[in-house]
Amino acid sequence: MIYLKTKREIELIKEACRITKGMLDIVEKNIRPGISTLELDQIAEDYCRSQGAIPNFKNYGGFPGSICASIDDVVVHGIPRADIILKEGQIISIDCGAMIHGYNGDAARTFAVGKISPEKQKLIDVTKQSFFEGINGLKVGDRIGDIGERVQKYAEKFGYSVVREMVGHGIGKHLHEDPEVPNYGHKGFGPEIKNGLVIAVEPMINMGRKEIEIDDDEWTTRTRDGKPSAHYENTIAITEDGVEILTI
Amino acid sequence: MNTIQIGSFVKSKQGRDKDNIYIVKNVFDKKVELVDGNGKIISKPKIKNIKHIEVFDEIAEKISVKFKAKENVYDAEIYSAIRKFKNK
Repeated sequence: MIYLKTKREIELIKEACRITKGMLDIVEKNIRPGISTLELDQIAEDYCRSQGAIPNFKNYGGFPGSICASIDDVVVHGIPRADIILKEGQIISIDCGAMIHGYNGDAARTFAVGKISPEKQKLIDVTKQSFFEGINGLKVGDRIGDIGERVQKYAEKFGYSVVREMVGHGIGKHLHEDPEVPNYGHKGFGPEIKNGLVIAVEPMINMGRKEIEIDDDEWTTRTRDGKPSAHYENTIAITEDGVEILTI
Repeated sequence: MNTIQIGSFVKSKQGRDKDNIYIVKNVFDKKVELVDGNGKIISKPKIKNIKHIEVFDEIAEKISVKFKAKENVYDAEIYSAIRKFKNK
């Protein structure tokens, strides 16, 4: 069931998204070789709570962290740990969200740890751009498949692959709502985009093959071929006025 | 022979896929739908005669529950569960 949001609800989601963006900003400032992913988690959680919000990833489905911290070949859902220390040359995807006034925000970025290879930088840049390609020109009356087709076409032009199992989603009172928003698909297919739809669009792009696997901790999801993966996500609202990115 | 059920780990005894390990997605009369998350994916399972598989007594519990409840199961979960099973 897709819940369309009123203008008032979108304003409340914006506040959650502002704090979500703040979490990403403060984590970005602290990313450096030598810091643990658990320290980054605590920084993000402290910021979120200082704003009167709740980190909505914490305990979601049993996830122990306030952020997902996914390094190199980890696609998503990396658990923050004291013994995972960032090293020069790695890339780290941070995915997080905040809930305030009963509404949620959700966003992700992939950051460089120190100096990274041109190949990894290109993966980050293409992943980010694939998000913007996906929502380019999006309007009421379009279909969810329009987003996926554009993301997929753009990413695959560079020889990258799109993760199939993990998809974007509706967001509002719940962190994950209908509809699912795949990063692949066909124009003209999927649910129709209606006035007041709020969704998280989140391309997860692998440098190598699309197949993924899950570690024994049942969270950490990594590429099967061991090649790096990047993630870029924003919460967006689509209204008669057009698309508004809420986590930028 | 162990009782076959949704979520059971099985091994192919016959055919081109002999010795491959799968998880049972569905059980029909005399046939089963098998997935390995790597080629034989959830949307395109392998259908095999029950006589042509060996059933282990171990079950992928979480996957079994999800299949029975018709919840979303990722191919990555299947692949990882089989990898874990093989490494035991």
